[in-house]
Amino acid sequence: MNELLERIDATIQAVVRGDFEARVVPIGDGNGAEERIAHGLNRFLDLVDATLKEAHGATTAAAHGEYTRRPIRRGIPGDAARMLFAVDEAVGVLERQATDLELQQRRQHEASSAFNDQVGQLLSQVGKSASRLVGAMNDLQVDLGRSANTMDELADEVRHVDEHLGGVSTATTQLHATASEIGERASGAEILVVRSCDDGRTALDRMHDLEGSFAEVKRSITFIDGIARETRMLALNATIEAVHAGAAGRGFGVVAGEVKELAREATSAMGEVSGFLDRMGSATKLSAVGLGAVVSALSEIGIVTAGVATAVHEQHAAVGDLDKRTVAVREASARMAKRASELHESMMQARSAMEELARVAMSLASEAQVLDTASQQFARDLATRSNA
Amino acid sequence: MSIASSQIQLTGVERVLADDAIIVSKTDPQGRITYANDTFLMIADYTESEILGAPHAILRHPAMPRSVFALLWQRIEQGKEVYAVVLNRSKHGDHYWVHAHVTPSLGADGSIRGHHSFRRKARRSSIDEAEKLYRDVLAIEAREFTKADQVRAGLAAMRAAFGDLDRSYDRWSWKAAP
Repeated sequence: MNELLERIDATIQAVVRGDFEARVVPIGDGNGAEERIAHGLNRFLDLVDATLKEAHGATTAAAHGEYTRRPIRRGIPGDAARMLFAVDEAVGVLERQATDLELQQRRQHEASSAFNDQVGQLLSQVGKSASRLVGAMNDLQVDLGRSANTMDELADEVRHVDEHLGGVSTATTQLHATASEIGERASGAEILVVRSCDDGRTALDRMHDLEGSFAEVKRSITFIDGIARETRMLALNATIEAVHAGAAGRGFGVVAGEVKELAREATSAMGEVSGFLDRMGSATKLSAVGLGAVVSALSEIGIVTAGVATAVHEQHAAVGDLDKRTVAVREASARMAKRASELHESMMQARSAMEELARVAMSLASEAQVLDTASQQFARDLATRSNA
Repeated sequence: MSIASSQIQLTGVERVLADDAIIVSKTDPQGRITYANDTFLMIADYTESEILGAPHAILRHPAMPRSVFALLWQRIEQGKEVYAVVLNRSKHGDHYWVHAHVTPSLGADGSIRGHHSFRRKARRSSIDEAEKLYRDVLAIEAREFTKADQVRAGLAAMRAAFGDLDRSYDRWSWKAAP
């Protein structure tokens, strides 16, 4: 085998091993059959090589997103050209798909950017609102704390009022009892006064009766005194007569003298009795006048006492009413104290709820911030991907 | 570059590739030609024995800015395929425009063991744009004295023209593909 044939053989062997760059070099300037075969082999390998390079170049470029680099079919015949045509079509399909995809991605990006902007704005607003909410919560908590303290103070005040009302109630109860007693006493006094008045009037009547009796006694005394005077006169006459009669009449004269003496003594006694009776009458008259004044005074006392009794009754009723009212006020104040306590409890609950809410709002704010950051990152990622 | 400016002859005659023609060449990592197909030999007027081992720059036309090649090599060193509208010069000074597709040939270990180039006929409209662009860039490069400064100034001008050289120049070059 000559050298050229050996080179042809070596070239074929190299190509069979996969080295499509292998060529028969040199061929020489001769024009024999071997040279023609060598040139033919080289042309064949050039075509194969060109086809491979074009297919490789176009598909590699397409794989990197470059679709303008298409396989050049010029000078390549037959099935190799058809294969490159198929590659060209495939790259064309890839390009259209890539264009569609790009358009779709751009639209998607625009949509998601708009969405992101909106979400970002919303999240920013949420963040701000949450921050403001936290601030408001804190203020509210402070206010609630103050309100709770005020409620405590109010509850204390109510307790004090209750204590005072307890005192008032006790006092009122005592006053009620006292007023009742006074009323009873006043009523008793009234009865007594009325009775005294009646007694006074009876006494006055009796006195008038006594005055009448005195007058009758005086008339009797005057009658008796007349009789005694006549008796004395008779006794004097008898004495005179006795004197006339002398001795016989002496005894008679003694008796007459004694009768005369008795009559004189009787007259004297009658005078005493009459004076006594006169003094009695005057005293009785004066007593009657005093008793009348007493009775009229008692009458007035009776009226006043009745007024007092009425007033005391009214007062008693009023105090009873006051007592009831005081009890009602006490109950009301107790209810109020209970309400205040409940309100305080509610406020404490509200306060802890507020604290919880403030914590939630705070975490909401930080979540919103995290979400905002994530959303911005998402937008950046999206932009990077669309540009890539 | 082993060819001195004095040796460069230009005829001003444009050779035009057939529509289906593909020029194939391979170089070692240093840019020495290790393979050229018969289309290459035909349009560039070289024999196989003349071209094997020669620097690829033997095809360089003086109207091509240095910075265009600098850009191509930068990208090939990164293991990428590149395409460019390139003006080549034949052995006797004729010129021909190609749409060049250059790829690194990777060894089993992934290292660059050479370069591979397919060249086809470029679109006329792209050739017209390239002529104008390269003329402007070349003028800018011509103001500099060292190769490094020329490349820097040329790349700056290209960047000004394309903005993103990696993508826009690629796409512009791509439009020249037949």
